[in-house]
Amino acid sequence: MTATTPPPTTTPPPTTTLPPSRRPAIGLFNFWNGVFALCLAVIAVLLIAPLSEVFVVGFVDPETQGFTLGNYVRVLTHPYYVGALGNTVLVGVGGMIGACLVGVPLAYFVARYRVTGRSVISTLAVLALVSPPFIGAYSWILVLGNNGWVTKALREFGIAMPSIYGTPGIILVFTLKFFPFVYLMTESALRSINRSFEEAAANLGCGPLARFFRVTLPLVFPAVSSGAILAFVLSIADFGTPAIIGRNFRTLSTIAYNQYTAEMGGTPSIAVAISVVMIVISMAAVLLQRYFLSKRRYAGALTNLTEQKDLTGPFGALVHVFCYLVVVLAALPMIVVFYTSVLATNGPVFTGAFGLSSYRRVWNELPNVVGNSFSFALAAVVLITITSAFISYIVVRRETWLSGLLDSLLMVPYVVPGVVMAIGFALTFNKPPVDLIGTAAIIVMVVFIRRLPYGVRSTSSILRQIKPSIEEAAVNLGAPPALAFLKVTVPIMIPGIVVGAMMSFITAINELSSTLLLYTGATATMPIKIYSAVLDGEFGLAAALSTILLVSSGICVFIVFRLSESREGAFV
Amino acid sequence: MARVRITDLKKSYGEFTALKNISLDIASGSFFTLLGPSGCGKTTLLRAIAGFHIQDAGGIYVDDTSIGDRPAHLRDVGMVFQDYAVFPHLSVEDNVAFGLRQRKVPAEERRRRVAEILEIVQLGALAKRMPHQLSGGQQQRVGLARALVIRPKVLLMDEPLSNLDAKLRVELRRDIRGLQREFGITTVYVTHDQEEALAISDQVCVMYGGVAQQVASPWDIYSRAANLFVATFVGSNNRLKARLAGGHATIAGAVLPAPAGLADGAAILTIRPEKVRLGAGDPARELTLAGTVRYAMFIGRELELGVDCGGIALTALVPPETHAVGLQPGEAVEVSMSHADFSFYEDTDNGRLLA
Repeated sequence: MTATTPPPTTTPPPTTTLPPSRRPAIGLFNFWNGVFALCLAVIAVLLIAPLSEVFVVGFVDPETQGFTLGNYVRVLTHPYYVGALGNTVLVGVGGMIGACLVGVPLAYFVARYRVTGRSVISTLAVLALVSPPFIGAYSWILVLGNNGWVTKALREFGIAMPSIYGTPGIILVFTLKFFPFVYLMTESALRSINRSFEEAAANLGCGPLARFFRVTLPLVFPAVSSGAILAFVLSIADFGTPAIIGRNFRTLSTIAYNQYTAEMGGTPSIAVAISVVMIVISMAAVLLQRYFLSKRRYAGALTNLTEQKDLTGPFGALVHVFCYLVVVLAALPMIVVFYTSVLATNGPVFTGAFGLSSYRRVWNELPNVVGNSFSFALAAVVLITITSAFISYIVVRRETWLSGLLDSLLMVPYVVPGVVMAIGFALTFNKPPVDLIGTAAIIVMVVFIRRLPYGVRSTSSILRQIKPSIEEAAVNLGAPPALAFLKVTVPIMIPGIVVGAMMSFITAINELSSTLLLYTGATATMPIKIYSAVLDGEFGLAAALSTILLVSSGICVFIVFRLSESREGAFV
Repeated sequence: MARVRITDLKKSYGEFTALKNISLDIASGSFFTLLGPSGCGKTTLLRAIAGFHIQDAGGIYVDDTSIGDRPAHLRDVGMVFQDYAVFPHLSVEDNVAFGLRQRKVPAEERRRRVAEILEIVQLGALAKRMPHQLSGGQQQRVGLARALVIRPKVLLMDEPLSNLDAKLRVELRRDIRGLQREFGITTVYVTHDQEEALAISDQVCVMYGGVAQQVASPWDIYSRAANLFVATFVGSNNRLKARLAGGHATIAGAVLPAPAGLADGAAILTIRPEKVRLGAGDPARELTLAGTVRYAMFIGRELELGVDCGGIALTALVPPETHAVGLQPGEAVEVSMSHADFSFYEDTDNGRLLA
């Protein structure tokens, strides 16, 4: 080996004739190691720390500050708490079953038959999905409550409606709110089933109904169960619906909230013990579903897609009636809210005429609340978008056990109810050096960590479609890894990133269950004001605020539809 | 123009050893092909040269410069990808200009070089197009132009033709070889297609189980395979169990002279199907076996004949003459093979060439 000449390029070689070494190429991984460490740090501070705090406080005796199992014993034995636990599971299972009973047939009809106005159906379903559940709750009170329009109208004819308050109302609201998950997931699964499976079953002598139950339904079971579990987890975590329509019906999230506000100032041990029980239930549901799914893996070949059949005769009419009935009922709260918002009011009383007085009140009395909602949501979305671009890169492209850990940690916010996350934040960031109680920062942070997994999921899915060789080509042509990511990968990801940002914005601006525990007068948001307005009987004001929320969500949905190839598929 | 040396390269993934002590010396300006079945380590080796996999041990040198521990973006080796990896958000010319921009080549020169290379790969008219408007073959030409325009010392190609249809593959293969000669660029090419490897290369390295089985010219690989793996992977081959004793080999009762200096015992003999003829041969120079036809398959230029010679299954490729095409399964035939066309291997799992 003689003296060496550097290669005739503008990139200078760092060294010449190095001995062969076991040293990994530094620089190649430097940038991403830094990003990785930062992501882990963010998750440690905003997720692990608050949840550990919640976990620890559950074992603290509020009187003596010593270790005790008493909180859990109390929560798991005292009739007050056990009743709430039973109620929670009841409405969770009820909401889940309701969502499946509505969602699966709807998905089958829309996927397999030429239903007129398919896009209207899917759009209404998506709009129902993105509207906050508490809006559903109070709209149904306006319709079917003691003083509701339908109740009053039927009373004229001497027909007494069964009470909407309590279990039936909650399950109704959950069913109509969460069936779109089951519907959208099942529909896309039904569309991607190879036609040959059903043809083979028919060829072997299986009739249409048996074919559906013995071949089709098992094949789409993974999708149905994913939607169902989502409906279950969101049902048991929901705070607004039981708080508004439940009357004296207690669920774990309402008593956790009440307990926390009652224990304010002291150690919120009982609230925390309730929280942990909620996490355990959600976690168990998710693990159970994963266990069942792990036994069912179907390799999908998209060669022979199913055909859609024409709908005729009485059956066709029946199918149409069913489909439209479902989505119109799901969209009813939005119509009610909009209608209520343009009724003229005098204080909390409706005068009977149309008018914009509710909006005027928002404009005059609550401009800061609207401003807060938008600025907090925007801040959270910017953080979510940037962080999820980096995290999904790590999770998708760097397959180490650490990135696997990061991926698993991001599952956690899915199963932690908002009330619980809020309690964790309040316990963690309540003392110097990080005393954030009452600040905008704590609201933004709690929304950020709660919605980060959704952002990561949407950027990951687009990243998985980008071949790694694209980036390798850029590196091979001389771009350092960070630059290759920014110049090549990010531009290709942009539509997916924007879709993810829109979805995060929708969830961020509608957030109630965590922010309700953390807000102060200065940091109130629209959902919080809607909640308190409903409790105060200020339905006009609540409707005006809800309409603003719905319109902003609707705009985001519109943008997603324009940008996303799968349209409604982007929402699940 | 650069010589590429790989010294003692090792790479494993947990328990799995992808590369076992690979040492290669690739002559400057040559077309060097890594050939092997999937999982043999050929792509791992190529990606180690590109810097996408970091080797556990060993060195990679271009001329006498070690590049083995440089980050991938500073290695200055061009790469063409199996899935083209043409940036979907950039036009054809921006794709090709990417590496030049990275090297801060002045705009004037950049434009000239991009136009030049696009003419060479016959894409001059499509410079403004976006990748999704191109066919697979055109996209791979963009990939090739993009790698060549930076004038790398070494060009790496990872199965660049495997996603194209058969006709296009042959056409582009010829173009790639032409360009490689014209530029005189040292090229390392990965493929699992043995015909492609033989057709295009100066030197072929047959890999299996993370080991370089043989490095030789295409003709030597085919005619003097170093071991039984190479003998059966490259082209088809008949394997016959034989016994060596007293300077002779015995196959199914028939005897032929063995090369001098081989020890007595079991051996495996190979002979290419095209070297097996129909009919009895000259006993002085040829081995004749009697058997029955198992199948006769007319495949166009030749007739493929399966013959069972007392338990030995032989495949023969013979000219499709009338009497041969009319052969029916079960008919008795004689086949003959020249003594000189046999190769002798050790009778082990992957026996070495004895003679």
